Amino acid sequence: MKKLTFIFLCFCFISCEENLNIDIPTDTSKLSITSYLKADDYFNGQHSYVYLSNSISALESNDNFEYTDSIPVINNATVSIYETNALQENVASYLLEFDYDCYCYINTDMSPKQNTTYRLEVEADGYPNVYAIDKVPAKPKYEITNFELIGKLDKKSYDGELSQFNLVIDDDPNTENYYQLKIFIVNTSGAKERTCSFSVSDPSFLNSLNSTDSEGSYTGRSAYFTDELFNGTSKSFFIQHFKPKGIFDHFYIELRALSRDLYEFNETRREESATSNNPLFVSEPIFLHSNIENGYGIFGGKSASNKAYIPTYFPNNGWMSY
Amino acid sequence: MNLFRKIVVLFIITQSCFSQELHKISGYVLDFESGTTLIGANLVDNNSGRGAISNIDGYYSLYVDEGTTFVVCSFIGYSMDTLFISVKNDIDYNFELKINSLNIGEVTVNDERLNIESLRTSTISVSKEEIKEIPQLLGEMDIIKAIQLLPGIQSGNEGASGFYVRGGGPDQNLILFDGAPIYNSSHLLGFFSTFNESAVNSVQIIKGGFPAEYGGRLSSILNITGRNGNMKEWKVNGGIGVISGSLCVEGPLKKDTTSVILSARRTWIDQVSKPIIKFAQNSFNFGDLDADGNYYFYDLNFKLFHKISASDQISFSFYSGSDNFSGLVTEETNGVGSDYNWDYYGSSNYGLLWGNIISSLRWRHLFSDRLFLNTSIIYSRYSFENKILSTSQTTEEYFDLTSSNWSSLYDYSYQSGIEDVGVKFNFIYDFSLDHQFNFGASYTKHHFSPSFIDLTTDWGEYTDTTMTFSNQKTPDELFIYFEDQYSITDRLSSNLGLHYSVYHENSRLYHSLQPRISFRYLLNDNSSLKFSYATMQQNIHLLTNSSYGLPNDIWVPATRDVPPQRSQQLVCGYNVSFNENKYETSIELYYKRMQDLITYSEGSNILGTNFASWEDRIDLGGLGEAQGIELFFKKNKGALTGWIGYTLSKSIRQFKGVNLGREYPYKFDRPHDLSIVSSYKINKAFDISLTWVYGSGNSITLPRQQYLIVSQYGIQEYYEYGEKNSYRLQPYHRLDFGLNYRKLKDWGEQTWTMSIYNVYNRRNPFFIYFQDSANNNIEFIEAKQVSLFPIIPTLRYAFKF
Repeated sequence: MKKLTFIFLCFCFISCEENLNIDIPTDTSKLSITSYLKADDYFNGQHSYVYLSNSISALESNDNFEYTDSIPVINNATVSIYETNALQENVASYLLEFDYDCYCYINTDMSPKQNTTYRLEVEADGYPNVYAIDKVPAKPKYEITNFELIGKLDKKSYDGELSQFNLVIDDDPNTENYYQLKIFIVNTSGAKERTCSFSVSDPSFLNSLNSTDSEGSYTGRSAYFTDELFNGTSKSFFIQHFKPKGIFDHFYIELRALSRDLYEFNETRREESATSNNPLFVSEPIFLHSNIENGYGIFGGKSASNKAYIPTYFPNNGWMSY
Repeated sequence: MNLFRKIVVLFIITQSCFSQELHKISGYVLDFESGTTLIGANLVDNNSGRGAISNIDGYYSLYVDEGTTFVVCSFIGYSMDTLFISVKNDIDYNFELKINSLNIGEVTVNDERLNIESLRTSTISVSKEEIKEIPQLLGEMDIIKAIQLLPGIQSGNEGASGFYVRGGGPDQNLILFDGAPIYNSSHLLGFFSTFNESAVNSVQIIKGGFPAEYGGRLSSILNITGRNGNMKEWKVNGGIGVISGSLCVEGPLKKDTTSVILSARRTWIDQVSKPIIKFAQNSFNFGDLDADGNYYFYDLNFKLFHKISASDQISFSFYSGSDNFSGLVTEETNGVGSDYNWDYYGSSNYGLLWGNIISSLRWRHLFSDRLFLNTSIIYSRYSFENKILSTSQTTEEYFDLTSSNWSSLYDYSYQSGIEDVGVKFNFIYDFSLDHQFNFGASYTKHHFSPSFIDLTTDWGEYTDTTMTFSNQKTPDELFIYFEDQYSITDRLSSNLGLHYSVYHENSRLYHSLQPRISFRYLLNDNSSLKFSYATMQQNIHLLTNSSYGLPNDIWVPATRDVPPQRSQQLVCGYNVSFNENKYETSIELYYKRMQDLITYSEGSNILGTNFASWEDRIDLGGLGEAQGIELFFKKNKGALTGWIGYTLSKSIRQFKGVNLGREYPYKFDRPHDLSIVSSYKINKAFDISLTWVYGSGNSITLPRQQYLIVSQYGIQEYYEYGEKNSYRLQPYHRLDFGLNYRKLKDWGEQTWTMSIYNVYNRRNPFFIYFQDSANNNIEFIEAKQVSLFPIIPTLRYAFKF
């Protein structure tokens, strides 16, 4: 990017520059939230948490963010999460506390449930109260078929294709489903876990969150897709899976279901990061998707179904729920 | 007898009645010295007061009463020619006008009375002489920049050659050169237009009330006619300016029968810019980077004209123009690691190449003194290519005397383009004194290549080649039209037309019937009221989100999922001339609605984050609305000539997926736009000109809040933007000065032109950006405004013999 900037400046060789007094309308500072609820996972700061920070004027220095130690988070807010029923009545409530290990708000008694709606409420001095609602989606159902192991898990120097298989999703026809697919490879003894690259050729993978070619072929480590093209059917994806260098003993597939808000939040984040600081090919500003009322950020639900291939223990079919 | 038969009989009776008393004088208006045709010359029959204008082929026809009369023919910069004649039959007569502009102390810019009488609304012809007198950036005469000074027509960013007509986008202007469309009309990132003045004969822009023969664009028709070569003798002219030189050779291959003209222009900015790039390199801190760059553009025009007979003419016109930018950035660095030394060498080659090739073959045929046919076969191609080739080599030498090397490769090529082949037939039939029928047809085969990417990467461990296509499209576009210019009474005339277009792409058919209606009512000899209504359909779109005038916009066709854009425009006008046509004023009100506009989705651009087709990166179904009032005051005669144009306007856009679905100001919405253009002829040798422009600042979107997304993976900063395009940059204004000194020499004529662009060195906004700053250890973010052109004096030398 530095090189592109240089070229651009060469274009503007006779340009002049001056400081400008811009009167940007001053908006009230608001709260910014990053919160995920993962089904059947304790709200302990690992996969489920609430991070809280404040917004400042676009022309203010970063010093004006509120800091806890040297981390720009707010630690004195009242953060509550309510489990609600279909009538949006509170059926359970959890008061979250600030944890200085993760610098986020947690409650280890809470474990979000799939197919359940939650409501977040945050009060902090000097800021408008914010709230958000999202539903933790049901865990996705899928099977692995036609599995073929091609490479060796424990061959250190090998980094080619490890396996091929069909991932068959049983899609729920009654909901719009948003998926994320990742494959992890693990060395249990070395406590090492890495993500694997994989390829899928399917139009469902042709979207703005994935780097795909026009044929719908995706290669990467984290793929997003929706059920728009196969809603309510049993959809099979042929997957080629690649191994990084190193010694491993098993791998597992994690298929996540995301809430719509979380999917759109990820989508706009991806677009923003891809187009920021690009002086030559400027795009229009990106408005990051948010479901936080009176604030910024995301309160997003997700769930995951994992299937592991562990040849040591299951040499015949090798697959188990994880 | 049914109604149709009654009407036909009535027409025949009417025609026969008139034919007993009226005769037609027709022919061409020519330059006496060169024999080239003059477009837009005025002809007036003294007895009846009827008038006519020579058309785009220099052809005219005028009805006169039987008996003795005289017809006056006039044209800007030429002496009037008068035909005294006793009329008993239809007559063919060619007027040959002599140049007079250097022999008198005052000039006549135009006979604007015909603007009062003309049926057309929102149509302005700008003569080459007028354009020549306008001071220009770096002394380069620029047609597009000249028309930006007219009311209702706005420039985009500083210096840019694109133009925006009545709230429309830059893609909504049909730019024709000898009948062939030009898709990219600018050089040097939009700072100069592709039109070499020595190859141009006439310029006309239509902003509303479109004649039925035109279609395919929503906002304007810019009709540029290339010059025919001199039919009498060989001539050479040329010029040398700060950034470019041009040369034009023309003459008869066979006197009064066949002529040829060849003109060429090339920049030498590649030579001039080298030290400037070095200066830029030294002025900015780029660490270990070293750079070299090269840029040039050229234009080549060729035209062959041949008179086959008195009733047949044929011409072949060819244009080729291209911009070529290349750059090389190298980086060489080294360092010390924990147990090794490392050396790094990287190089990146950048290339941008874009250009047009167009040609047209035209045949003009007079079937009779009432029926005229103009047949054109056209070809137009625009292509854009962007290349980046980066390589690097890293060497690590460990302290145990072992070493390792690795290299990387990034080879990227992006191409897009459009290619048209088409044929047009335009008939003019003088049915009677009161009715002139214009009708014809056009067929164009488009070939779109919206985007093609070839990417090869080699990062040592991983090699990949990706070939990506947005599917090529080859739509067909056909239209037929008919219009009747009908003189209802002596004061009231109408132009009623229909334009029917059919567009076919991949089994999807779009067709539309587009009425074109205009009325003119003469209040008296010096003033008229006009009204027009036109619907238009545009079957192509331009995807753009760069405001720098870079050529990375792509033309895309309407497809099954992306419908054509449409518009409806109403215009009401009042024209008045006074003091024997010395002054002319017009007021026009317009209202335009546009549907099915497209734009990039928020955050998308041409080099998006993925290789998805352009159709997946756009928002559809956009609405646009533009309205305004245009005031135009022009002084046509005397030593001081010029005009004042003012536009008060509003232009908005609305897309479902943009700005939360709310309407917002168009990026180039400019409520106030004022141009004052003046030229003063001091004597035969000297004339001076001043131009002052003022415009409201462009609309941009600024961030209002910054906030953080914090997670265990890190902290990222984001901006919250307010309403889209809710902030206006500072107003734009600028004064330009020009001085021409002409001198006749034994060998010909020479002209020295001095121009000063931006006389009072106004720092007009080009763009703004934000930068972290500190004052007394207090950090803050500062807005910086970048202005492009300071005061720029230039000198240009031109000659002809």
